[in-house]
Amino acid sequence: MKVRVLGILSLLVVIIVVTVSSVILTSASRELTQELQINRVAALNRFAQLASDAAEDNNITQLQREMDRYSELYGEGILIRVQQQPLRSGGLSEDQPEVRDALTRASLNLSDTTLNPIRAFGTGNDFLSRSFGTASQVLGEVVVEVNLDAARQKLRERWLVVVLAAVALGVLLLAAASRITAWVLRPVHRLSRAVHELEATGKTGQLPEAGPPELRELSRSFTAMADTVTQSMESQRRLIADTSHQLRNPVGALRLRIDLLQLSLQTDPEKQAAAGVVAELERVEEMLDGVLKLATAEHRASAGTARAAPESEHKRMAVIDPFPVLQGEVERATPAAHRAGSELTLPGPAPESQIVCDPDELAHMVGELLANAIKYAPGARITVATRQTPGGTAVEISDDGPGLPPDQLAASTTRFWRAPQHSKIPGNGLGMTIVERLAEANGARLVLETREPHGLIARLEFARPRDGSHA
Amino acid sequence: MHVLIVEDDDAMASALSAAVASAGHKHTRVSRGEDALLAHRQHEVILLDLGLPDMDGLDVLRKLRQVTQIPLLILTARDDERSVVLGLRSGADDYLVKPVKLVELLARIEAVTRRTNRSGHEAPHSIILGDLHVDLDRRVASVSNKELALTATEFDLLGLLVRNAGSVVTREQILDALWGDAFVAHSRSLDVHLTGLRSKLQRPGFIINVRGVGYRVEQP
Repeated sequence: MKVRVLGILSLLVVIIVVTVSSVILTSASRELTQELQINRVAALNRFAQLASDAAEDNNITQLQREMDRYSELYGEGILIRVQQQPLRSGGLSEDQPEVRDALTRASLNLSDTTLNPIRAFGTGNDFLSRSFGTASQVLGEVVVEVNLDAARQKLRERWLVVVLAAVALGVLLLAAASRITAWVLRPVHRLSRAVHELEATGKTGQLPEAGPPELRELSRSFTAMADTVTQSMESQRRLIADTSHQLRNPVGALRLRIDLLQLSLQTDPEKQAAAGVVAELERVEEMLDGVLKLATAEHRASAGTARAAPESEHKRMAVIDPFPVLQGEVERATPAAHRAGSELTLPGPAPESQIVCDPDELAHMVGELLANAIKYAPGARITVATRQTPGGTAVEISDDGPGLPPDQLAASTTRFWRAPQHSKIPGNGLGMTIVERLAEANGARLVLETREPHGLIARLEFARPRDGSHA
Repeated sequence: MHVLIVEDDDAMASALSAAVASAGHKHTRVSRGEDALLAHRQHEVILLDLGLPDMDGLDVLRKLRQVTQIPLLILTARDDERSVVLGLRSGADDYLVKPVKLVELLARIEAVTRRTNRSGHEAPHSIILGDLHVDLDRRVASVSNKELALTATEFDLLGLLVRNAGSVVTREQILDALWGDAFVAHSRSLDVHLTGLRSKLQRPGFIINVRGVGYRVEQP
């Protein structure tokens, strides 16, 4: 848009500057011609008078002397024909075609006392001519040579001045146009950035009020709208968190009651029924836990990305070696892995693997991914490793289980999504979503890939720690 | 045993009462922090909810700890690590997040009271957890009668964890007990010693990492 607006403005500026300067130059040329013409016509008339006098007196010596003096002084030739006798001065001769033309026309009593407009880069001289005599008889003709070089030089100087002034003016106008364009467009750019920010993070900063009034109004409206959106998202998140929090008391009471009830049951069918209730209750508990964790993770993610430097804002964000955390999680998951018949391996610490992360949240993410691998790939070999990537360090949890088809991989971070083939396995479909949000909150990325020949790779890609980010 | 239940939610309180009664304990229920501060003397263990109507549960805890070392468990709906760490740092013996299973609730109450009662008397000479035998006097630990080659620090760490078996030991408590201060500088060495201890024990899942808080050894 800037290029287009600036292009149109520049075109207008160029047209205006060219028009104005050409008008100035035309008038300059006319003025110079006029001046020269008045001057030379006066000389022409004087010589016509002198020649007329000389013709009456039959004494041309005086005339010749005047002519010579004039030519000597001004360097312009004169040719006068008195009764078919030519008098010449300044090297002018009737052999020159223009002179002959002028003489012929003057002899027909056609005076030529106007100069053609001077052109800055023309050549050659111009001629003025008239006849003289009485009203009834043409006694002779006078042709005055007009040297245009001086006037041309003057005109060229004016050209130079005008062109320089036009260029300066053009540059000035273009600069002004560019500033005006920027002034108009800056709020538009800011607005578009803010829209992107709102889209990405659900939050946006206050837009400064600048630019034309219409855009100011637009900025104001946008800020108001963004506030509303942010508030409603925040209140939605809070509602989820508060609701699941409030549910903890009744669910907790229910849990204790059912456990107590189980103790007093006698018969097997009763016990089976109670076990069914407990299983359902456990699902509710798990769901509650997941929703609350997701709400926390989402809150952290939005609080993290809304700031320019999440590392400096988050108190527990630190440059850490992920290895002890991985070890802790592997330790925690090992009994479950053994029960599922899986084999869990963690190669020794990788040198130089440092990441910026909240250690507890890293533990949480790795724990969740391990639990998934154990749950959905029973009997698989599960490997936890850190590896260097082009952008930094990645923590990778891979298994050689059945894996997921590509379309399911993409869907697996959707809230409450469960793979159809896993519907028998208990779960709430929140784990991957939580991991993704927590990764986001820590400036990392969760990448899910299919492993060859079969299996799944879940990779947490952390950017390289920047200097000075030690929390 | 006489249990003081500090809980503002009536349904939860009555379920808790029934739960402790099932284990043969007597109980009193109060719903306000002020009442808890007044009533603690006649009890042997306190179950404290953090969300109380009149004051924050953590404040109740701090005030109680100024006057008594009575065993105290936090039972809360807040599971954010901040509250948990603050609670343990302020002197709670353990914490439980609602909803909690009956068995777990009773086991934790048991563990906390046993430990605090024991610390009143002389320190134990040895602790047996399943097939793990820790002789605190001879500073020897063995699994299935096979002696473990532990370093001094690893033994201290193991001893600290098993003495508190069943409840969580915060990182700060470990750092303070082993190095005499809780500065972060030793945090890395704790990781190293823990790794060593775990690999020598060869009992995955024995020392559980309680995220953001510390470590726990489960009572078998």
